[in-house]
Amino acid sequence: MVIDAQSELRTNISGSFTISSSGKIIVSTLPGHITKDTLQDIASLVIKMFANSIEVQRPISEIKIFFDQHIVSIRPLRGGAIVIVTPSLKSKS
Amino acid sequence: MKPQHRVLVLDDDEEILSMYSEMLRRLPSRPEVKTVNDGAKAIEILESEPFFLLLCDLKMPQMNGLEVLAIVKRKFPYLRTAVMTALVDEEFRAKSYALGVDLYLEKPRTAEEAQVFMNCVEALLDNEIDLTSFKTKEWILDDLFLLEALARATNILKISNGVHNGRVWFKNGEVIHATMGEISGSEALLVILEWKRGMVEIVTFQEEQKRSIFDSLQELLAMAAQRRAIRTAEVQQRIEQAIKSVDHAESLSSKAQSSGVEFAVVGKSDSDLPAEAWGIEKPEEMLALSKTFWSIGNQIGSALELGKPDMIVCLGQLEHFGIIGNDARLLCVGFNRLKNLNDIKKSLVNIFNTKR
Repeated sequence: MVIDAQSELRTNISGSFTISSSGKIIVSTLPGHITKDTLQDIASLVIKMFANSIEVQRPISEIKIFFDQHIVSIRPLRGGAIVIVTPSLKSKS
Repeated sequence: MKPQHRVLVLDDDEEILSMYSEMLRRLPSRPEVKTVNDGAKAIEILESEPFFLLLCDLKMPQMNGLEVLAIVKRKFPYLRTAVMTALVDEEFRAKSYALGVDLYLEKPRTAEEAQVFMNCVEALLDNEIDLTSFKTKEWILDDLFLLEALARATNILKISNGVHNGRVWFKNGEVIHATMGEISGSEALLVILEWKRGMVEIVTFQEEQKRSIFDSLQELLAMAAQRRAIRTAEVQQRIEQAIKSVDHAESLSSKAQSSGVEFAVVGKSDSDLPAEAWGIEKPEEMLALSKTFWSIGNQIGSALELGKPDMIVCLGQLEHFGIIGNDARLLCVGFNRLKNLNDIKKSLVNIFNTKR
């Protein structure tokens, strides 16, 4: 039952976290099982995405990564970023 | 100690103004909050008092939010702006970001959304940002020229596009003179407008400039659009001829050439070189970016236990692009910025599934 409850939690994950311009996590509303180290790893990847897009002169105002049951939306905030995880419509049906 | 920022909140609903005012005052940075219920009054206040951030509703009766923002971004380039709206519409989102808005926020409906909203605003009030970076920015030139006309601006736009540089003089919103290399007047302006986009620095109009352009801005924009269309058609024809000449029976161009699609690149997992490309100057650069993004999408999916990504859509101020793939191949498609998110998703799946 414990395993079922946990997997249920994973399929309904939602929340957000904010990354400062220096790449540090400012605040997170994601579930507690996602550790700060994990968020820090993602923050580095997010910063890399925006840096790479600017390098090739294709500035981005929002990145949406579509997964089977979730959408990860990433928006830049003048040097930092906000990452929002929401269940997709598919997962609700 | 950080200075106290001043925030102006514009919404036609007094109850909402009161609620936001209360919420914003509770932020860790404790900003000073002022509210206003009319776009014209907001501009008057911004002209007379310094503010750090404008939070603006989109749907208002007199002057709508986009009209206010068009004027505000032109008059106060250093002011940070955020749209807060109940309109969940990708077109409005794209238009807002095209105007240079820092953040497009949906009005919170739950406590959790309110927290996200507050986090975003607090992040915008972060002091670490270098404001000098706002001085020069990339613009779609047609949009910028219309903004200049709307704001009845008097100034010089220094525009660069790669190695080319041009200057355009505006007086009371009318374009009066332009130079580009050896040429000047309307011809110079048309050449500049043909670039479509450019890095722009706005400088003060110091000396009286003799008028050399007498056509209206609308006429010049229409002529430039016509020239661009002819040039695009010529380039397109040359690409198609080149593709036909190598007998590329199942060419990507035949699948990718639908409304709003600007370019397409296909890569294979075993090569850094594009297997096929259409409508893009440096396909290898775009393929490298797509591979990096796809890999990062996989890493984020793995870290958050969400699985592998179905697709990635990147919305830009100037254009959008989407990435879709599997273990064997990756497809990146560029879209016109007016294309909405749902159409982008459908096009990506369609092109990917039919191009095996």
